[in-house]
Amino acid sequence: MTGFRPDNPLIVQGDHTLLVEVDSPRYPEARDRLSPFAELVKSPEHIHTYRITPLSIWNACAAGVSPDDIVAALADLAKYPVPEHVTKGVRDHASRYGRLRLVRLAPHSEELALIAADRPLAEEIARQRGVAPLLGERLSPLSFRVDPARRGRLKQALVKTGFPAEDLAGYAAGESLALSLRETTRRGRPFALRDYQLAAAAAFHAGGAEHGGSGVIVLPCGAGKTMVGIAAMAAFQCSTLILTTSVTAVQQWIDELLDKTGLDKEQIGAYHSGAKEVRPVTVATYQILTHRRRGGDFTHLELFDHRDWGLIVYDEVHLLPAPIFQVTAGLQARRRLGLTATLVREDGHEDDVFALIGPKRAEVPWKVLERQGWIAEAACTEIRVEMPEHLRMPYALAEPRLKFRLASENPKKTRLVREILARHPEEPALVIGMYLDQIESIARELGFPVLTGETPQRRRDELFADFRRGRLRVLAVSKVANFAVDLPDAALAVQVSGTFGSRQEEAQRLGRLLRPKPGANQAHFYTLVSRDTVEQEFARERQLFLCEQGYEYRIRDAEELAGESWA
Amino acid sequence: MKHFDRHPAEPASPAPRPVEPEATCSAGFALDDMLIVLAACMVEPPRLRSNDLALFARARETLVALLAPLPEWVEEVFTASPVQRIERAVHTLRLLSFVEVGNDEAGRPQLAATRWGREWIERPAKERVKRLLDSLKSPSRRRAEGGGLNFLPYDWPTIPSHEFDEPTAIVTAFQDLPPGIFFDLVEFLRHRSTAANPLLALARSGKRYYWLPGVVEQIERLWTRRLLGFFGDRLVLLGGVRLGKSGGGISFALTDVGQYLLDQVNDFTFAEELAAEVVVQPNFDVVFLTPSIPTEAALGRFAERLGTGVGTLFRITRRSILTAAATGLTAEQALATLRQAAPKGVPDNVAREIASWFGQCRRVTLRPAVLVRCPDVETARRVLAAGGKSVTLLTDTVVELHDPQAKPALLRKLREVGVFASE
Repeated sequence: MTGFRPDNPLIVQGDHTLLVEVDSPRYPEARDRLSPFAELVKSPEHIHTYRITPLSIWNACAAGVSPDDIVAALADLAKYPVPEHVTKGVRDHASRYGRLRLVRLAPHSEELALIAADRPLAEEIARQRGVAPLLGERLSPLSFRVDPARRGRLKQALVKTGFPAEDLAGYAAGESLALSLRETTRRGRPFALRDYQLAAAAAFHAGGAEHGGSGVIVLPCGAGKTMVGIAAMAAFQCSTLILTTSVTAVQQWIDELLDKTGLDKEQIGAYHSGAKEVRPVTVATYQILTHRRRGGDFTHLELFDHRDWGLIVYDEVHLLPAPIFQVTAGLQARRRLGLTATLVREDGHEDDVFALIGPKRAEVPWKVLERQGWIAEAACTEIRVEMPEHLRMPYALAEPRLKFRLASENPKKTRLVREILARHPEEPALVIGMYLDQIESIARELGFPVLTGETPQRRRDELFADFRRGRLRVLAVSKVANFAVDLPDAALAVQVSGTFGSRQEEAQRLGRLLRPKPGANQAHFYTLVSRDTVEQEFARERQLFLCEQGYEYRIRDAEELAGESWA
Repeated sequence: MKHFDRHPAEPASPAPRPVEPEATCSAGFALDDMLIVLAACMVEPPRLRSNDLALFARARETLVALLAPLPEWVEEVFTASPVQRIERAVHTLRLLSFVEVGNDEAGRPQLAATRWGREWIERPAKERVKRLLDSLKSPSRRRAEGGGLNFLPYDWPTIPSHEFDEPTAIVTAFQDLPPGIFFDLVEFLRHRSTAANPLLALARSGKRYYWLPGVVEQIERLWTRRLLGFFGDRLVLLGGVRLGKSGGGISFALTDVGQYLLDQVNDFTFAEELAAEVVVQPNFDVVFLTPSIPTEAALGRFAERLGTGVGTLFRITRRSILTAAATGLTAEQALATLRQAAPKGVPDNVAREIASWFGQCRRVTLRPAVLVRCPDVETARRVLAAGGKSVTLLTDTVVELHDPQAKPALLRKLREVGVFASE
């Protein structure tokens, strides 16, 4: 076999996917050299899969990586010769980045121009159906005037045509805001940003250069994305609008800002269904911004114009709703920071995130942080339990959707929850479910409180506080806990039902457990599934996601657990 | 009487001299092609056209995509375009009875691997080649008794074996060549057909043979064709030579395999395939870190193919397992195959799921039956009484007649008791 280098860790496949052998001594080097230009798609135990896409190449180009670097890395790491068309594809996509530049017409002018690298390209984009209407008058054979209001839409359209524009038009400075990071938190603990958080914030800031100031930071749940956001705010020293997923998440952002920065309460506002404060730092929910009045207009989108924001932070950017995309298209003169655990969107709009928020600026894989002890190790176990005899016939005759519900609400799960909690008597635990009747019934029978979307905010805060302080060991939560609920001491989760095969939900639920734990730094994630039902199939979809993130996933039958050590 | 001596002005060509090739290529590609096609026939039998039982273009393209590329000069000289390589592989596999025409579930013709083909592919690489060589060297194959793959690749013009021992003459022609040294192919053929042509010797004996041409040049051409046929369709096919490109021409060197085929040695060395290194991922992907066609074939029985060579070649799915179960494969067999191929083992969740999917399989039997729908319970009882053992009560008012052939007899009995049936 010619060109076979068995000690190398990489296989480059013809479909532009890259397989990396984790057990290879060169794995750490491979990971570090691949991550700038390839997306980590899955990272199960032995072989990690990356994918080279036009977006990943453009992300790399935006970070200053050259196509020669990419090709050299592939050739150097590969076990087998790199397919020629892959090399060619890399060079081709890379050659498209930067051939169109979006700049200001004059240094202090509001007006923008799109400049093409050559005449044929200028002619081509001028004839593209999606692009042409967004271009203004022709200023020269190579340049077009661009209406600042169309800056975002034009960038979106250019990405779709395969010629992304390098946006060098800069940003509005925004209102200035003095913001310092504390060395000791208000709660009295020493505080310093971790190395990877500092590096991520620095990559975003880019020394204040025009090619920085917009982009996405990819960090796993529990890795402190909020801290990166705060560090970016400290770097830019400007008023900031933070958009996040729920009221609870709003409160957590505010708590962290108060705890770890020199800002005081009067400088931070909450903007959601229960409060409408617009202050130098405002934290709002996506829901309130996308709320429509009866006539169909979005009532609260004007928040974006309430102040001269210097920075907009999009928390959980993979969940950014469509109307916010539209508004963001009009906010290209503002600095924009996306925070997320994954660039993968269930709706496939990754290209809009690239065009409107910006390229990926930094990413640290989950497993790396786990090895470094920044996030807890998690053991995932699926326990299969039989349907009770009296439900088997109703299940067999039910419609598909009802089948899923019957299987999810299998009453035999209650006994298992009790057993699991008894096996981990010291660990703070969440019992998570999709159906309120089910989690309320389990909580009632086993004697712990329930938190749902209908739980009043004050009661929620009390429950969270009790849970954090250890006064409450077990809390049952509905879907409301899927996003941004900061339960620092949860070390055990029992998932009694889930939203069909949602991978995002699985990641978020597991994310609740990943904050570092004292001692063994070990978390346990149990999923209870009715055997030989549709629930088993959906559970497998979710299971796949966890496996692909590198978590060991065990499957056990309820009966065989009796004599087995679970830990 | 004709004189079968060469004209003094055209002396016989001298013995070929060793040459130094600029580029070389292992000639065993045809054997590899056969393995690829056979593995494909085991995993997903390619569809055949009903009219001529040739591969559908799409099936052929799928196979072509699996072939390893050859240097252009090899493709040109041996008319070995990818499509021709597939056709030749299919032809040879058919001759060996390693594949046969079968039918898929819808009754459409397809090319499926036979038991012999499966047994052959599962053997170690050297043993696979040795089996073929030993079979070719057997007396019956040398005499070309019966169909299949014989020692000589051609059957026309037929040379009666009692008049001329052609296999021995062919072996003698190549036997003198020292192994591992490259010779120009044209020089070799020219020398053998002019200076060492056994057919010329036969012609000079004075005896007349209907199959032997009467002109020196024609006899030389005939022997050249026979040698070239054996060279291309046996030595090259089986990896008996290494090919070289020298100047504008082609050269070749005998390999161990070639020597074994030509009875020069009693055994041969053969580069064994790299041990298959396969990783079964907890997300059900199966990744090949080294290529292994036999392992591909083995895993293809219960996993969905995604690629070939190295990389993520298979994914184990519920559907692939159920398809395998339908062919009689068991969970134990599938897991044993995986464990054998994967030195790092099979992740617990994958093993569990495979066992669980196999465990869901049940066999049911289908048979035609006749249902008698009655207007009320009382009528059903009368039908039951009339039918006796040939019927069974399914519900209060539905009676099943087990054997549709017995319908006329049942209808007659029902008429006799005043129950009239309509269809």
